[in-house]
Order: sequence, then C-alpha cells, then structure tokens
Amino acid sequence: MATRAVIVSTTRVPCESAAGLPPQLRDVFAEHGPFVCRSLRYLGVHEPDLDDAVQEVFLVVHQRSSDYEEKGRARSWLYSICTRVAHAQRRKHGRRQKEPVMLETTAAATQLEHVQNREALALGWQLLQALPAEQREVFVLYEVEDMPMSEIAQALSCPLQTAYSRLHKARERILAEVQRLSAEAKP
Amino acid sequence: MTDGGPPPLKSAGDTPDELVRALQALRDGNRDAARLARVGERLGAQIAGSGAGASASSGLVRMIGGKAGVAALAIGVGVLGVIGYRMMDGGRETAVPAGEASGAKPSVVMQAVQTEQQPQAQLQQQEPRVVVTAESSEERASKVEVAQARSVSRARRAKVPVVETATATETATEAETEAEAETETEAETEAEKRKADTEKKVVGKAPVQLSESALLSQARRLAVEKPEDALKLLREHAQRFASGMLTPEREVLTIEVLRRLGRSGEATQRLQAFEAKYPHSIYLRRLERGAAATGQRP
Repeated sequence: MATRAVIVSTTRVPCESAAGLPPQLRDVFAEHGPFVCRSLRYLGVHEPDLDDAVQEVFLVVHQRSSDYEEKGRARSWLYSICTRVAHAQRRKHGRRQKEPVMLETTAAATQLEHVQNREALALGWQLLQALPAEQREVFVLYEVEDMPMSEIAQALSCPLQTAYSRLHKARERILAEVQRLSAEAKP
Repeated sequence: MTDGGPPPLKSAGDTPDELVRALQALRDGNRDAARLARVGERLGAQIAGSGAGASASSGLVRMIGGKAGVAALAIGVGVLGVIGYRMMDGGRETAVPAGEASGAKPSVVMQAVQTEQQPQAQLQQQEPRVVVTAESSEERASKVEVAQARSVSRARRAKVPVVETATATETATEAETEAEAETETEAETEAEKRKADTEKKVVGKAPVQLSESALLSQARRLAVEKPEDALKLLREHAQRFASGMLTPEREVLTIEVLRRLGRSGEATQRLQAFEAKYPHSIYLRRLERGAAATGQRP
C-alpha cells in the first residue's frame, strides 16, 4: 500500500482572531470557523465571496444565539445557515464555480508531499463535481466532516432514510469515478 | 460515528488510497486561518459598531416574543408601507402588489435579521424593500407558491409533518431552497445523462494525462523491472513539467535509471550537473553511494 500523505490539520481558529467578538460567538467562531468556510465552499460559494459569506453566517449566529442548542447539534445548525447564505450568494453572483481555487495547503515536510496534497485536493473537488447536489451534501458531511447521520438529516431537513439512501448512491458514484480515473490513467 | 451509519470510507480497508487522500485533503487541505482572522476582525467591528442597536434589538426581540414576532412586525410594517405607498402614488404600476408584501418572502427573513440591529425608532420609519433580485416580484411570488405546494405535497406523500418553523417566511425559505435544490438536481442529472451519452459516442478518446507526482511515481515503479519504459516516462515528465516542483526528484531517478541501463557516462554527466545546481541536496549522498556501488565517481 502506498504511503498516505500526511496532512496536518488546524481545526481551531487562533484566539486573537476572535478576541473582539462577544463571548458566546467567540467560542462558536473559534470552534467552527473552518467548518463554516468549508461548508460554504461545498455549497458553491466563490472564493472572492467567501469572506462576506462567512461574516454573514456568523452575524446570523450572533442574532439567533438563542437558537443555539447543545454542542453536538451546532454543526447541523450552522450548516443550515450556510445553506441559506450560499443560496443568497449564488443568486447574487451567479452559478457556482466548477474549478476549485487551489489555496496554499498546510505545511508539508517535503516538496513531494506539498504537490501530493494539492493533487489530492484537486481530485477531491473533481470527485465531488461528479455528484448531484443532494448526494454531494450528504457525502461531504458524512465522509469528510464525520458528521453523524442523524445530524446530517437534521441539517438537510430530510428523513434519516433519505439521507442514508443519498449516501449509498453517492458512494457508488464516487467509487465508480475513482475506478474510471484509475483505469484511464494506467499506461 | 455512533449512530449506526456505515463505516466511513476513510477507515474502510478497501477504499482506494487516492480516495482516502482526497477526502483528507478536502477536510484539511485548505488554509482558512488568514481568512478567519480578517472576518473575525470585521465581525467584531460590525457588532461593536451596532452595539447600541444590538442591545436594543435584544430587548425588542424579548418584548415582542422572539424572532416570530420580529418577522411578523417586519411584514406588518411592509404591509403598512405598501398601503401608504399606493395611497401616495394613486396606484401607479410601479407600486408593489399588496400580495407581495403580505405573502411569503424569503428576503424578509434576512431583512428581519438585519433590522434587529436597528434601533426601534428607525424600524418604524424604514421603507420596506421588497425585492433585491433581478426576478420580478410576480415571478418570485409564484416560485415561492410552487415551492410551498411542492413541499406540502411531498410532506403528505412521505407522511412527514411540514416543519412548523417559527414563521411562514422561514418555511418558504426552506421550501424554496429545497425546490431550487431539486431543480438543480434535475438539471444536473440531465446534464450528466447528456455527458454520459456523449462519452459513449466518443471513439479513440485521448488518454488522461498523469499529474506531475503520479507520472514520477509511475516511473519509479518501472525503474527496476522496466528501466527503458521508466526513462520514457521521465522524458515525458521533463517535457511537461520542465520547471516543475519535482525536478530534483526527477533528475535523481533519471540518474539511477541510466546507471541501471549501463549508461554510466550519461549518468555521471547528469550527476555533475545535479551537484552544481543543487549543492546542498539531500539526494547527493544517495547518488554518491550509488555511484560508488557501481564503480563510478563524478
């Protein structure tokens, strides 16, 4: 088995970024800021619009802080807010991007790892584009964000069985796409 | 995950490595620290700047019974504003239809959220802005109606109660969101079918080109058993990625493959050039060991 690329994850925002925020919002921002950024990207928000979209999400969070339930459900609540904000952004700025903007990846030990990380990210986006929107949402929330299915169903406002069905179909498509790409790449 | 879902692909033993890496990269491969630092500052300034409004709006929310009351108040203000507008303009065509102001209107939700920031006095004087998109108000209203109808009929079929959210406008927002998603899904499914049909008709499709690292990995795999084939891939790599980030690695592998093919003169020349270009490379020791093992010395 080939060595898997090591990607260092930074999941919590440094405290200085959130220092000026009210206490409860600061905690949510620090804990879930990266998740909100990723969610908005999955939902098709353009990179140039991402700052505004993230700000809008947390402004809604601030305004609706009384809706913030127990921590375990925070991400499903945040994701549903991201969905609305992303839709509004798309109406404002047009269709979603098809090509991901390749941002600088996290620190890699060698140049080879750096290149592998970028290529892995490009492949990830390519695979997601192969899915219809409904399947893509379930797939990223389960397979990438490790969200439990019950939370996913709540975030997407769909029955649990529907979420399972979408995941199953998404997996089949993704695995078929990976096989197709591998077969085409062989000399 | 403890809710009985299937094992995640990342931890399943039979998931292809490239898929595992791709899933990890989607999660961890983008740096957003700088973005969040910027947004955090802006958000802090925005909230601090509307601090008086925020505290007033909190009181407003409590007084009128939460977000449902705020949204209802905003709708009511909108209705009053429309009636006043019609009276002033004598019913010109540019007046907003009354149904629009009182009907489900997703933008009012965001408007309600935004107006929470404003002092109560300003709220009473605010003119209602009904539509901010390019769609006409009639198109938007009919779209929302269709979305609502679909949501209700779907809920009936599924025997799932329609989610009773705090306001009718939120229901419409979710219904419209769902309708849009469904429309997009249908459109994307159609696009996919057309793409699949087109692909079936294509004959002699050009092979997918390997990426920079994949091409080098492929050459490395062939270096021992099929060094001639490895050299061809390395030449291709040099053409396609002349200034690529893996140039040193390619050069090292090329030197080793040339040695394996018995082309020691070429290998030595290339090693000398490599040493001159990358005098501090970590690969030099390995190359020199290889040269010593085959009796060659740069």
